[in-house]
Amino acid sequence: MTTRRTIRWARVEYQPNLQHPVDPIPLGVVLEESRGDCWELVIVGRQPRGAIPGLQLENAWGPFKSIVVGWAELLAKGARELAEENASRGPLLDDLAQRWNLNVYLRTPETKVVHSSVDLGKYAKRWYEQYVGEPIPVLQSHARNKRTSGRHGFAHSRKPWLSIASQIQGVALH
Amino acid sequence: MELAEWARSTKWAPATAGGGSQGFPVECPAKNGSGQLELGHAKPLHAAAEVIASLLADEIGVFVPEARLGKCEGKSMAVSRLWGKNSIDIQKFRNDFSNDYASEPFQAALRHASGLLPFHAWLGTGDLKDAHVLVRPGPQPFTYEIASIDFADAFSWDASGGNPVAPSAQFVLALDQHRDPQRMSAIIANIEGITEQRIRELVQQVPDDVLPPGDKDRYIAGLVARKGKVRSALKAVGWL
Repeated sequence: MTTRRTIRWARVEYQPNLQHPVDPIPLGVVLEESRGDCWELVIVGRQPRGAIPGLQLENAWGPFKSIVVGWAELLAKGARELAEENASRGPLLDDLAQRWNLNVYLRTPETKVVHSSVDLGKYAKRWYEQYVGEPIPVLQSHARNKRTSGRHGFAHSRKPWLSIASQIQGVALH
Repeated sequence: MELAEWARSTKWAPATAGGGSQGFPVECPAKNGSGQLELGHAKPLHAAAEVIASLLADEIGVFVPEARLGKCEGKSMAVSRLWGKNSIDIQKFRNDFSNDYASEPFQAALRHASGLLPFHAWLGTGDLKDAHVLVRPGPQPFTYEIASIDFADAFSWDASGGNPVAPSAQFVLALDQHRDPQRMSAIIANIEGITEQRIRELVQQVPDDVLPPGDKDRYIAGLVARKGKVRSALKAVGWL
């Protein structure tokens, strides 16, 4: 059975040089869907391993490097923290977009209406491939958490990028 | 004065570029003829306040990203250069890199940045948020520099100039462990030492169609009247 669903999503990009910009580098996508009091957020992306040409990470150090090579984990951590700060809250994507606005940033979230019962993670994979232009390993199935947020992710080595997927689910408490 | 022409940028397109004022990312060819682009954050509102705050910061010796008037889509606006090749706002830095935040080099940078406190008191910056504090790498590896952005509501005094007040003690740069009385005192001396003539020269850099003469007079009178009151305002709260 197909159902009408509204999915909010945002692209994640990296601008290596905020003073003399180059073409931004696509890193991944974040999708979010609400169903009643429940919401689900999926992050799918790629994290650079080492100094990939064009990323200008050769001389980067400490947090200025970590925020690029670990962006997906940091984004997932931020989403969990936002969910935990206020258990009555619902979707997080717009708040996340406000907090990621420098070298690694979320573009303005968009809304897509789909008629399908396909798993949100599958949409994330599909939209990631369309955006980044390369495939990502098939998402594994995830155990479902209710009420509190939880992360179920996997990482798969594909040099020179590390593919990352995270899923967070929650229930807004009233 | 001919203003640089900027265009909306697609090289950097965050959902919410920092700094408020309904800003948006812009770019223009670099002046050095290198073929590179320069990136900026255009601020259509409160352009004069942003530019004058940046000019005064340079003069006084505190970090505020360079903001100058430019043109975009036929309109004059302030364009603030991005703060470093790499930067992170201090909220995210504290949240995601707590070990680096606690490190001595970072704490030293915070103490140095407490020089921004008397500067904010002088300008009457009201909208002091941690998200308006940026961190970039310092000139040496594993050192940091810290700047303030967003002066949209500064200079909002009446003709008398009002009285400076110390920024909120909750503001990240104002926390007990981050305040350096020596650094703040040195910046206050710079503020006290700037002449009315120099203040006038800086304020006059903004054209009359961006800041009318009456408002320029109000800015100048306020800056002159307030510069001698910053020290007592910070002493009153026990910061010096």
